[in-house]
Amino acid sequence: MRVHLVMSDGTTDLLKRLALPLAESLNWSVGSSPIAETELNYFFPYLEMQPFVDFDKTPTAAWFTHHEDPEAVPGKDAIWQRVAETVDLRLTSAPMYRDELQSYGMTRLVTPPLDRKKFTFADTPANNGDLKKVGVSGYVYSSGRKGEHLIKHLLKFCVNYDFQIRASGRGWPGATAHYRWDDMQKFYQGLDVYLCTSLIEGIPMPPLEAMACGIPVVIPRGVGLLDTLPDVENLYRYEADNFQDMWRALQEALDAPGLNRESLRGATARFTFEAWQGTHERAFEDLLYDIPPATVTTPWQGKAGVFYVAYGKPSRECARKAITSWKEHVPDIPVALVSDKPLGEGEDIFIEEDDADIGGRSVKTRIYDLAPVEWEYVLYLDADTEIISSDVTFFFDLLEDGWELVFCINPPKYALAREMLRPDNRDECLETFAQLGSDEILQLNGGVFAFRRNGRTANLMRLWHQEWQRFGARDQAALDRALYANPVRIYTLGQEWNTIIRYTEAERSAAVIHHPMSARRWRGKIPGRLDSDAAWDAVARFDGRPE
Amino acid sequence: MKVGIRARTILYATDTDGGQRAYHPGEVLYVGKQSALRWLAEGRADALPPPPGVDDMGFYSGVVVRTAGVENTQAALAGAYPDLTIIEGEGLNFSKTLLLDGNLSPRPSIVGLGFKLLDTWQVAAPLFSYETLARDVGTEADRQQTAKMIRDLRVPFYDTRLIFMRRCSATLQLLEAWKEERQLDSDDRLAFLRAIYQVKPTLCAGPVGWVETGDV
Repeated sequence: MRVHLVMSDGTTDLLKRLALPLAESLNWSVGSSPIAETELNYFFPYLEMQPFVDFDKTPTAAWFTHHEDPEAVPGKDAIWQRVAETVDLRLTSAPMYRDELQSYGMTRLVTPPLDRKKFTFADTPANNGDLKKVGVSGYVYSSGRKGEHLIKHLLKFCVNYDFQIRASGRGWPGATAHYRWDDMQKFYQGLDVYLCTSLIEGIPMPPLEAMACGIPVVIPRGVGLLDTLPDVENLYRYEADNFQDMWRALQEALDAPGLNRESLRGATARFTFEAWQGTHERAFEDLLYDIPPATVTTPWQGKAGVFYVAYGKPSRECARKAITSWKEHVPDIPVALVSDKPLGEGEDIFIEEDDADIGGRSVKTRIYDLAPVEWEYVLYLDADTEIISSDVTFFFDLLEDGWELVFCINPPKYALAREMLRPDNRDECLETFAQLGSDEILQLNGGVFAFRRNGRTANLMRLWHQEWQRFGARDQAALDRALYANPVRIYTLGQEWNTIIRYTEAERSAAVIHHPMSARRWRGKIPGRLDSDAAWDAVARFDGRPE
Repeated sequence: MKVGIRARTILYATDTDGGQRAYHPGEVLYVGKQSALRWLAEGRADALPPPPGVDDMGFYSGVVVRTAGVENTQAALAGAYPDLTIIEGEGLNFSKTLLLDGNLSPRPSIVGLGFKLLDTWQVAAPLFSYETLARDVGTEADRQQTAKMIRDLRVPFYDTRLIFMRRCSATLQLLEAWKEERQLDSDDRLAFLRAIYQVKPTLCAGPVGWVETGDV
């Protein structure tokens, strides 16, 4: 999986610490703008996508940190919404933001990484005597989302109580020290309680880091992912932005009779780099490679039909027998015939189409659009087939169970795609094999197949028709190119369900016997397209008419 | 050992059924090394392109050997893919994983093809046989269990010794379902057939010959 991480040079150290190890371990490229030569561009954070919202060269993903208060920071709120609408995959670490973002489309939680080797118990627990230390940390912004006003208020109180505030970072009321990242664990290890006053956060990391160091924490409800932390000893919650409740929780923390460092640390065990990496990989793999779950379908009875194509005398003669055999075994399932004139031999629906190519392929490959729209389940049978059992409805059963397409393989002698190579289709075959990467793939037989209507099969069938039009010859290579570029849930059957008696004994057949070549209205090979003058000349010769 | 070449002129060689046949320009044939070298030297055939390199497969392709015999696999693939990661296990350890029976020495060309197919398909696996059907294997109870799900056992099934899977929700679910189905003391192949029937991934059925050995 090739991913390009989009991150500008000026991004914060925290974001770099989160994203760059991912890129390094997963072999991603990194740059300040998206690129086309990758499977996915990942904007970290979502703000990085703002200049590139029109980028459409690859699928895109973005990590959504926190959603700013629209009134306090209207510009960021607008970007959040614009990117959420634009991006293909939304990643976030807080369930509250996942719930909000998934109304825009595919959204996944990613577990943030905590360096639990760095943030660990102090060798010697802090002994602050009677003057306990309450810590806060982080960079304070003008939006007020860090809840610094709560600290300002708290500072007035603490002079009368037995604790002091220690702040790390920037912008906090009162004295603030700056700890280098290398020493950050020492800050936590010197505390008695860590207090998080934030109103809006994406994770936040400091309470997790403090807990990993075995330090009691006082944390707000409804902020970032903090509500997902288990209620362990020495973890105290309060209503966000409620000073009275925060004061209560802080007092409980300071007055607690004991300290269970292991349980605090244990509650952070899931925040590993492996989880951070794994949740990213899974989300990207699902975006790029998963398909929507198989839908629950309704019974095929009353919504199924069989589709024949017959042009020219031999084919129409075959179709008569084919339809008769169908009606004998499955009389309740309607038959549609596509031709230039009705057959009058049992077809329930006649679909008139011009005789456009000598093999009827241009009509056959338009089956999705030509078959009656009320048929949710469609079975195609060549005109030279014969039904010998009502078990043919197995095709519909498979589709009803959730498969989207059913095809049968060629007889074993011609099981491989390479066997279809002939002098008259060499160019098409070689192009097809090059596209597929090999000629050692199974050759599906286009004479008997079934599909269930949905967007994916519509796309496939129309692509099949487009691919057929390029060379205008046999339809198998065109099917391979279409199917291998746009796979659907295909169920592959063997020769029992399309028994070509030239190669397989009829006794082996479960339902459909195929009499190949008997519907053809020409002899020999047709050089080039089946809708060419040369092709029609071959038909004229076969019919015995003067050229 | 047979060597794969692509004919530039009409060449006559033994086909898979043992008879002589004409191979036309563009067709691929597998012949003995001496014949291949002679035709290549005479300009009557082209060498097949080498199997894709690991870079072509993507950074995350790897082989998980489900049985003992990881050394066999390493020996079989070391020449073509010296950097390919091959480990013992049973999960989808890579973005593109080949789940392999260690007793099988896979052809490098098939390994490359399988990983390429996973660019678009979720699963690629060869059929076990064109003749033997699901009704012909497993115990009676196993077959009944399978028929209950699939309805008709006159269907082919897959050779579970060589399965390529692209890791995603569907295939992780497939692997779990396969594991559960195996716990019923089932034939591994029928268990896989039931598992795919439950999950319904996009599965590229490959020819029986994918598990044959012998190319270069």
